[in-house]
Amino acid sequence: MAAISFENVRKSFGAVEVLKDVSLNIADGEFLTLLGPSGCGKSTLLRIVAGLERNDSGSITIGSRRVDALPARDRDIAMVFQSYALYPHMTVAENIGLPLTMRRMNAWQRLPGLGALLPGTRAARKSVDQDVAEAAAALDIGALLQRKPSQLSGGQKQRVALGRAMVRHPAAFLLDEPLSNLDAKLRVQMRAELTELQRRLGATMIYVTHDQSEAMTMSDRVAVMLAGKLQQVAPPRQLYDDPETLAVAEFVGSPKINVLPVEGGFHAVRPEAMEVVAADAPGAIAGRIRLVEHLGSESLVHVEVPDVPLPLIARLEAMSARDPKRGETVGLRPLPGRVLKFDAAGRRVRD
Amino acid sequence: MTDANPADNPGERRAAYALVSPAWVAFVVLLAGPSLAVVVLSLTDWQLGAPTMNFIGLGNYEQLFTDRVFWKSFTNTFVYCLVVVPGSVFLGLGLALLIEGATFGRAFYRAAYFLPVTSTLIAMAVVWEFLLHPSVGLINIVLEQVGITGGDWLKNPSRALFTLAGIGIWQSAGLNMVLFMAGLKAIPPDLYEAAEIDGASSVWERFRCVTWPMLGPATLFVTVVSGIRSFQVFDTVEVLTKGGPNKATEVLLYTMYTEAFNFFRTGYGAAITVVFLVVVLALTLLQVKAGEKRTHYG
Repeated sequence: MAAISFENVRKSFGAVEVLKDVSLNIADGEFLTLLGPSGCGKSTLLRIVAGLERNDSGSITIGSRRVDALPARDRDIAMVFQSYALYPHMTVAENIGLPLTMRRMNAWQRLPGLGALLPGTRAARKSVDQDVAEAAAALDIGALLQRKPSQLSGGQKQRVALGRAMVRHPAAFLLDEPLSNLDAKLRVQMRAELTELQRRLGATMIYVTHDQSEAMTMSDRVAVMLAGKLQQVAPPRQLYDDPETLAVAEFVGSPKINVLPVEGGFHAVRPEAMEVVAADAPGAIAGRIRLVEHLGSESLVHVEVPDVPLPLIARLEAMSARDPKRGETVGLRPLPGRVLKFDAAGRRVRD
Repeated sequence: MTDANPADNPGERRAAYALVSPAWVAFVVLLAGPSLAVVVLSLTDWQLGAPTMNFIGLGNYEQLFTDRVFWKSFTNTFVYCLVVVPGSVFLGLGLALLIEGATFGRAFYRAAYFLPVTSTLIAMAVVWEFLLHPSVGLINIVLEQVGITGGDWLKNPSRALFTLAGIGIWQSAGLNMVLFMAGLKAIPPDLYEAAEIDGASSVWERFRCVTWPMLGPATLFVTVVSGIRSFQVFDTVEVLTKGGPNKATEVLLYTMYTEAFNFFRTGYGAAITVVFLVVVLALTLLQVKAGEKRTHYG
């Protein structure tokens, strides 16, 4: 396992600059998530670490080695793809074992049939089989080793892809939206398993996703990336409670944070920090309720306010004494100390 | 209980038959009917234009299987296939890989190699005849420059069939190339990237781990199509050798053609056609069955 750092990494595809001076240090054994909407450059950054793309400038260090100029196979990293990218003609065991056979056996020993006659082949083959069995056991897919990928479910393919990454004990794992092809229920389950696996292996992981619930639940730190720039790198809690920019505040959190234009900038208030009060209460913003969404444990109250482009949203506990109705005129009031202030450029202003 | 079988409903049944009927009519008129007619004709002594015909049972087949020319023609056709199929499949694959890997001029090379497929083989055969001419042909003139005496490509009995096979490869490699290029396009790039990270990054390992297995379906299809097409070789034989010298390039369709349309022994020609159809059908079934086990559709 190893620490990873980027310094001033830039990348353009033609005239489009996808990475604008990205610098980031990832600690040994850290689970770091790159979070951003599609097209923000997060996948490109991951592919640059993997060696599948070259950075135009800047440097990438894995452990103590600078790797910019190294081909992918020599960087000692493993990658899990969104599509799993399993070899369809190989069994599960062969898929997981490929990174090892490529490294422990030479081209002659790998030849089918003839290779078995060469000295050292049997010992190498045995060591590969042992490591494959170990990885498969850790992922609970030991019974599937002789199957072909086409005979596996999405979740099982996912585990095989993880096995192929784990088996080599790489310096770091790179995961590119690995859960987005799974159904919702399995995704939640794999989320927990993946975090558990990462802790157990003590592995450095860079995880790319556009799904903020994945980012918030799994990561030690989340790096929010927007339009090719790192906006903020922080633990999930801090990212939500203490965003550095308005863009981060708006991207993280669902439903979206309420933004109120004020003199010289913006005030932003999370829906759960909004109180629903009488329209004429002191400090309240009056408006008409456009929609009430009942979600079981809570309700979301959408209030249309003059001069604010989007309706403001307040989150009410289901047990709340108030039961606002559509069409009613009410007041919204931020809880004391829960207003986040930003300047006109969207940078945080602290008191 | 509520799931009534639609076939029990007479209205649905009629609709089903009505919907299937165009396909059935086409099948019977275009395929089953003519094939059956050929089989029936092969059991008669009918001659083209003759007012009468007699049913002679398997007489034509008895004569066929003792006919030296038929056996010569039968083996020639197989030898031709055994040269042309691997030759045009691997040449097509090689061309596809080279063009796919090229950084410029792809459209030009694709068109250039596809040209023989679109051209009329009879016209092209005339060009080949000129190129292969023993004394004034371009091929022998070039060979002479490097000190090789070319000899006669089409009149030498031990060489003529292979010369025709060479033309056959030239003609069908372009089609195979296009089919392989379509197959290459369908390989997900993720697989190459995974192979790169897994250490299978040399040209040979990439081919062995990703390209070749992923081309399985394309290779199967290309092989079947090339096999059937080369089994149907006729044009070049007719234009260049007329089955000669000394039956060295006699092939099934050419034998069938001379029997049925030169000697007007239609019944006998029909028997050859039946043999031809059986072999093509068997080849197809064999290759598809063999291929199914080794092909990965992802």
